[in-house]
Amino acid sequence: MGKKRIWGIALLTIFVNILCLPLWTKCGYSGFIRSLFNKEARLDLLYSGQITKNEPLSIKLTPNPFFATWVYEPGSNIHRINQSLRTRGKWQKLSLQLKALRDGKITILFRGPDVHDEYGIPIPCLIDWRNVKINGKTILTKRRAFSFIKPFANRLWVKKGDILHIEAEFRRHHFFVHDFTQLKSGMVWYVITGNLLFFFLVYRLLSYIQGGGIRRIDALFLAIIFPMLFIPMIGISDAVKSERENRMLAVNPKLEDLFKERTDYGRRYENWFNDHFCGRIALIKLHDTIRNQLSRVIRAQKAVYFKKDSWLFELPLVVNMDNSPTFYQSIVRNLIQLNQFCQRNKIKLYVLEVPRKENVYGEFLKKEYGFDEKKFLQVSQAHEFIRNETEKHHIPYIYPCKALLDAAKSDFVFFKWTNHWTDWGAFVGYCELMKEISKEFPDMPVVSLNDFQKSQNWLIRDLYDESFAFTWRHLYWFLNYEDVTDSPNRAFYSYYDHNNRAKMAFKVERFIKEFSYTEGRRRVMLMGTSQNENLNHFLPYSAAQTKYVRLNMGQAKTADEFKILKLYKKDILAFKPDILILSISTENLSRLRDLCSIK
Amino acid sequence: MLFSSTVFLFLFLPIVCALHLLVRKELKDYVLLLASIFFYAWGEPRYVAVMLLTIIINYVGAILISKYKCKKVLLLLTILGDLGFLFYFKYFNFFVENINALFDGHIDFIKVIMPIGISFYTFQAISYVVDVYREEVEPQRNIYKLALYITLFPQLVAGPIVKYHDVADQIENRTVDFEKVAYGVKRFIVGLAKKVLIANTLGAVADKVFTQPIDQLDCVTTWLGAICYTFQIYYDFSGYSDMAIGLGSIFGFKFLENFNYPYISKSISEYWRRWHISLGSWFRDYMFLPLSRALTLSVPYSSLCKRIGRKLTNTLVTIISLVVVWFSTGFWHGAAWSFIVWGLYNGFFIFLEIMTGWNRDRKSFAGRVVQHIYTMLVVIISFVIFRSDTMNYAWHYLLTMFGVERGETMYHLIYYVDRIEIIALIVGIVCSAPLCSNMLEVEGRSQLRIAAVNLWLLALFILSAASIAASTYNPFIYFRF
Repeated sequence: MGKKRIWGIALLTIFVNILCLPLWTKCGYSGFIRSLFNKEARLDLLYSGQITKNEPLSIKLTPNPFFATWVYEPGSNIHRINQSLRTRGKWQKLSLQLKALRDGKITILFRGPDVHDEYGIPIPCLIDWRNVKINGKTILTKRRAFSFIKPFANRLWVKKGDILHIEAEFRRHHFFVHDFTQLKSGMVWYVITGNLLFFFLVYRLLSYIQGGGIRRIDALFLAIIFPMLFIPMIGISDAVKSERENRMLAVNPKLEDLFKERTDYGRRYENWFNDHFCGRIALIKLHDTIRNQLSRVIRAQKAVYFKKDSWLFELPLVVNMDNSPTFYQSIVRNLIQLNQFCQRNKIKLYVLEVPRKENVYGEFLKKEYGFDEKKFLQVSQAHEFIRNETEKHHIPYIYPCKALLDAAKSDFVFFKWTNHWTDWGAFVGYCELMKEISKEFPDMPVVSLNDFQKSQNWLIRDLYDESFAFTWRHLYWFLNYEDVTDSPNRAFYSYYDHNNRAKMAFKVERFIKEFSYTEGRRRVMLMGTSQNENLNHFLPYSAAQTKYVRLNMGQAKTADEFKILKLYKKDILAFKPDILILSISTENLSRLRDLCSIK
Repeated sequence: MLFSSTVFLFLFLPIVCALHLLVRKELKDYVLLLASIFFYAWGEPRYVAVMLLTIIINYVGAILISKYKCKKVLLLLTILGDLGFLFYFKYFNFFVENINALFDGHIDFIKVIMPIGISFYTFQAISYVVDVYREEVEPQRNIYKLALYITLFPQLVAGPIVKYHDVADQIENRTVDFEKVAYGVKRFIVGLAKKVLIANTLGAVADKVFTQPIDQLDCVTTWLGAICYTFQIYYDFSGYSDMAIGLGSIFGFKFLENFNYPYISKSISEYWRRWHISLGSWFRDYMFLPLSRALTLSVPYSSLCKRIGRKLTNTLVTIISLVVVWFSTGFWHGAAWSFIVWGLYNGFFIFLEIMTGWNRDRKSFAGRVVQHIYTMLVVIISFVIFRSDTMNYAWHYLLTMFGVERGETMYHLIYYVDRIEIIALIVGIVCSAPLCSNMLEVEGRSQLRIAAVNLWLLALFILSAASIAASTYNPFIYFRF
C-alpha cells in the first residue's frame, strides 16, 4: 500500500479523533452539544457581611434591564444573585453598576449555565469570557472558557457608598483543540488503543476493498457498525450516582478481586459496565420513547400507567398484608395502648385511615385491567376486624372509603399520577372525620365549601407541595418524562383556599406545622403521613390550635417513625391537645404495630 | 457472558474481533483460544479446570484410540470420563432425589452449580473421539487446536453442537476475509434482534402466564402463554444459533445451520429435522444409528426374526432405539422428569408417524393444512410440558387449555399483552416462515437491495442495543408517603 494511502488513513484517524473529542473530555457529548446550542451565561454575585433583610447592593445592568432579586441563604449566611444572561455565538457586552448599601465582601462569578446530565452530574457547559474590567482595571483580557463549576471568580471588599463598574464580553463557547486540557482520567489509554485499532482496521479494510474482497456497500456497513461497537467503551461515564434512577451506580470492582475465592468479579464488572457505558441513557430514552408510543398500558417496575386516561396506579395493586389474626390483634393492642395513654391525659383519640386510590377507583381498574375486586377482600377483612375491635374500646375509627366512592362521581378525589388524595378528596375525608368528632365535641365548627374559594388548575401534588424530598419526579423519569410538565397528564383538579386566611397564623418548623385560628375552640394534634397535607386546608379552621406532626419525615429513621409514644410523648404532653388524630394510609396500616411497640 | 449482554457486545466482541483481524494468520487460533477461555472463565472461573480436563482426556484418549488395538475399551473409557463430569454436575442430584423418594433414603445432595455449556462441549468432545474411533478423521496432535474446537466461544455455551468431522479442516486451514466478516456481522445482528426484540418480549408474556397459579388461568390465557412460549423458545434458541453462526463466520468458520424454519413442518419427524439440527443429527449419528445397527447385529435379533417375523422385529428395534434416543434427548435438556416426558412424548409421535405413514407429504392443500395444524398442536403441547416446573402443573395447564378445567382469571388480556407484545407475536409468526430467508444473500442482488438490507440491519442493531440498555435501567423509586 502506497504512502499516500497511509497518510490518508492517518488524516482520517485524526479527523475521527476530532469527532470523538467530546467523548474524551469531561464535557462529554452532552456537554459538547449543550454548549453548541447554549443560549445562557451566568453572572452570580455573592455578598457576605452585615446580613439584614434588605438588599446589600443596588444594581443597574445594561443592556438587560431586568435583574434577579437578592436571595438570602441561611446555610452559608450570604446574599446571592444568580443572573441568567442570554448569549449567542457573537461577542456581547455586559455593563453593570453596583452601589454598596453596606460594608461587606462581594464575590463576582463569571460562569456558564447550571445544567446537569441525566445522572444529575453537572455538565461543564462552557462560556467564553474576555475583556473583564472592574472599575476600569482589566482582570481578564484574552478569551477563556468557564463553566458553572469552574467559574472566573473575583472577590472585593466594599464599603457603604462604593460604586463598582463591571464590564465584560461573553459568548457561547467554540470548541478548539485546547479543550484537550479537559481530558478525562484514564482516557489516554483509550485514545492510543482506539487510534491504533482504528488505523489498522481501516488499513485492512481498504486493502480488501482494493483487492475486490468486499463490496463497497458492505465495507460501508462494517465501517458504521464497528465504531458503534467501540463507542460504549471509549466514553465510559465517571458518574457515581444516577439522579434519574435515584440510586448509586455500581462500582468498578478491583482487579485483585479477580483472584479471590468466590469473587463474583464478572457479574460485578458487568453491573459496573451496564451502569456506565457511553450512550446508555440515549439508548434507554430511545427504547422508552418507542415503548411509550406503542403501549396502551405501561407497566413499570412499581407502577402501572394507563395512557388512555392518564391514570397511574402503584404496584402491587393490593397491599400485601399479613392475614393472620395475631397481626390484626397486635395493631388493635397498640391502638388500645395509645388510647389508654390519651385517656390518662384527657385526650380523645381518633384514627383516620385514608383509603388507597386503588380501593376507590377499583371499578376503573376492573374495566381497564380486569382487576378482580375480590383481591381487596383481604384488606376489607382487616378493616372490619380492626374497626370492630377499636369500637369495643371506644376508639373512633374512620375509614371514609364509601364517602370517597360517592364523591368520586363529581370530581377527582385522588390525583391521577400520585397516590395522594386531592383537596376535594381531603375535604370528604375531613367531613367524615368531623362527623365523628362533633359527636363528642359539638362546639367545634365545621367548615363548608362555601367558606372556600375554588380554583381549577392542572398542577399536581408534586408541584403543589414542593418541600418534600420524596417526589414523584423519579416516576416521571421512570416513564421517560423529564418532568411533570412533560407528562401527558393534563387533568384539572380543584383547589380550595379559605376566604379568611388572614385569621389563620401559620408556623413551620421542619416537618411540624402549627396553625392558630381565632374562631376555633379546641386544640388538635394531627399525626400522620403525607395525606394530611391536604387535610390541613380544612382541619385547622375547626380548631383554635392545630399541631401537625408529619410522621414519615420526622426525627427518626423510617423504621421508627411510627413509634409515637417513644418519640412524641413529650410533644403531646407539652401541647396538651383535646383531640389527637392519628391519620394513616392503608398501605401503612401495618406500621400501627409500631405505635407502642407491642407485637 | 451472554451474547446479548453489554459487556459482550460493547467490550469483548469488538476487542476480540479487532485483535483477530489484525494479528497474523498463525496467531489467530491462539487469539481465539485465549478469548474463548476468558469468555468461559468470566462467569465462573473455577469451572475452566473441568473444561480443560475434558480437553486433556479427549486429546489423550483420541491419540491412544488411534494407536492401540483395544479401541473399543479406550473409546468407552474416554466417553465415560466425559459423561462422568456431566453426570456429576448435572444429574447427580436428580438421581439422589429419586432414590431418596423411592427408597425413603436420606442421601445428601451435593452443593454444586452446573458449569455453563457442559452439555454442549461434552457432546462435542464425544463427537471428536467417536470420529477418531471410526477413522473418519485423524486425531488432533496439536492440543491447542483441539482445545480451540472444544472451547470455541461462539458455540460454547448454547451450541450449535459442532461435530468434529465438520470443522476439522477449518481448524487446520481456514481463511478470514471481509466478505465472511460482513456476512457474520449481519447474521449476528439478525440473531441478536431475534433474541432481544422477539424472544425477550414474548418471554415476558410467557413468564407472566406460567407464574400464575393454575386456578387463576382461563382457556384463552393458557393458549396465549403456550403460544408465546413456543415462539419465545424458537427465537431465543435460533437467535443464539444465528449469533453463533455469525460469530463463527467473522472468525472464518462455517458452522452448519441449526434451525430450518421448524414451525412450517407438517410432521413431528420433519419438525425434528428442522429443529436443533445439530443435536438431532448428533443423536442420529452417535446414538440412533449405532444402536439400531448393534441391535440388528445382536443374537436376540436373529432368534426374534425367526419367531415373530422380520417386520415385527424391525419395529421392535425401532421402538427400542426411539425410546433410548428420545429418553436421552429429553434428559439432555434437563435433569427433571418433565424433560424426560417431553422427550418421550416427541419420540412417541415420531414412532406413530412412522407406523401410520402420517409423515408422508399430502398432495391436497387441506391435507397439508391438517398436517400442519397437527404438528403445531403437538409442538405447543410439548412446550407446555417443557416450560412447566412440575408435571402436575403441566397436566392441569393442558386441561385448562382444552377447557376440561376452568380457572378464574384475575386479569384481562391487556395485563399480559399490549401492542408491543402483539407486534412481536405477529412478527414472530410471520418470520417463522421462510419469507425472507435469503435476506442476507448478496450474490446477484442489486446494490440498492443490499443497501436497504444493511440499513434495516443497522436499525435492528440500534433497537436491540436500546432494548439491552433498557434492561440495565433500574430505578429505585420511593413510592410510599
